[in-house]
Amino acid sequence: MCILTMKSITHAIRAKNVLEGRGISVTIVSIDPRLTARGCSYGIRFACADADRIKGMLDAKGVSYGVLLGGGDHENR
Amino acid sequence: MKTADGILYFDNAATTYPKPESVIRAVTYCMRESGGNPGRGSHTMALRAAEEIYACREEAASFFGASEAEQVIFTMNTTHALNLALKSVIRPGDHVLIGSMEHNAVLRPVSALASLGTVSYSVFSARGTDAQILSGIRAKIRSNTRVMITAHVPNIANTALPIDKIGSLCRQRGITLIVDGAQSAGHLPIDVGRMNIDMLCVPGHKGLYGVQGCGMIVCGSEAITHGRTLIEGGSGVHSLEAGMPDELPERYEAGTLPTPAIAGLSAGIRFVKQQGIASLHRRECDLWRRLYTDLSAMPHVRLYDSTPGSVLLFNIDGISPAEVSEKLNQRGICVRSGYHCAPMAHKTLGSIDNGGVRVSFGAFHTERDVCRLRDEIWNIARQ
Repeated sequence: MCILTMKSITHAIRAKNVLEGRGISVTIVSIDPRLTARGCSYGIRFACADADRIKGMLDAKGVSYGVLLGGGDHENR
Repeated sequence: MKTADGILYFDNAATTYPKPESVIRAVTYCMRESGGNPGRGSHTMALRAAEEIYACREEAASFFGASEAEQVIFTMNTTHALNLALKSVIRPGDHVLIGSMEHNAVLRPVSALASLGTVSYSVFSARGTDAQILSGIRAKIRSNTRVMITAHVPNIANTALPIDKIGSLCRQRGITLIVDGAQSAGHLPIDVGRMNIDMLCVPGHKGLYGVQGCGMIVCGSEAITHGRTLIEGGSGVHSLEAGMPDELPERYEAGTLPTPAIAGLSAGIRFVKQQGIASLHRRECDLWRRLYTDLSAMPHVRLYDSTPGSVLLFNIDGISPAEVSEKLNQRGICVRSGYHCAPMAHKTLGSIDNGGVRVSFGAFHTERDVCRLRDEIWNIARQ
């Protein structure tokens, strides 16, 4: 699974709603703080095969996002 | 609309009562089923709470013409929203314009900044025709005028400022427009984009029929985007950094949000949409006309504003407003007397000596309620 980091919970929910509206299911997760320089943050988790499509959909709707974290499970702290 | 023990409530400009059943259900449901802390962790209950918050952002953004949910910043109330909006953008040396009918929620923050010597301010006349008001504003604009902060509708009269025209003027002159929508949100249509409002400050618990505990800034531009914060603290993101995050809305929402109140606000906005703003306003105006006409015929009753709307200010000669309010309260009727935190408005209307008695209508009033109020005012006035 891959995780796309988001600026905040608000942006994460917006991304989730945009994607679910297009038939793509994602899960909002907390990012392992060890993976970020700034501390707690949120992301959306999905199958890595969907990464490019998801980024394209978010770009099209003006939803900003951070970096793609590939593989592994970063959900739990 | 009466309470179970027969009390008739006419203080809706302070806070609407009763609340729609849908609002009560939404608050209760949230407390039962979405009781986590929004934006704090990603467990199921925290996410449910966060989704309640986001749903309200979407509802409010759509209702007030903002393009994205992130443009809705939750605050404690309108006063908090106005303070945040003003202090986020103001800079030393700036000049501020306010109207002559402002609530203390506008006057006091501006006055506090002026007393520190950091800003100056001028007052424009908020009475007259649109052309007169706009002309008065133009005459007060200086080269360093950076912000206008003003009420859309005052809290003791019903005359709305021509915000769309003021917005165009402010946009042309590079002035940030902050609108106090405490008495207009839910009563009149507001579109922050079309009206060129940079920041609209509104309560959740008045014309939007939510419960007390939250207000909002609805951003119509990016004026606040990198502004100064009013309070700092936990935001749920970037916790290793000492500074607040840059992103809206979290930058301005330090600390835990009142999720049940925000869930109630979502339901309140839906209630207003279902009823229709025009329909609600027309109904309030009908009730206002009925009371105004009857009070006009009473010899000892003084009225101050002839524009129909949701509030009606009056006095009875020879009886203080506080005494009138107390006598009505003894008869089971709730109205508000005094200065209504708006001495500027009372001065403008000519009621500054003693203040006045304010009646304010809501969605659940009937003509029978107004007749009972009228009869009791008559009984007091003829004594």
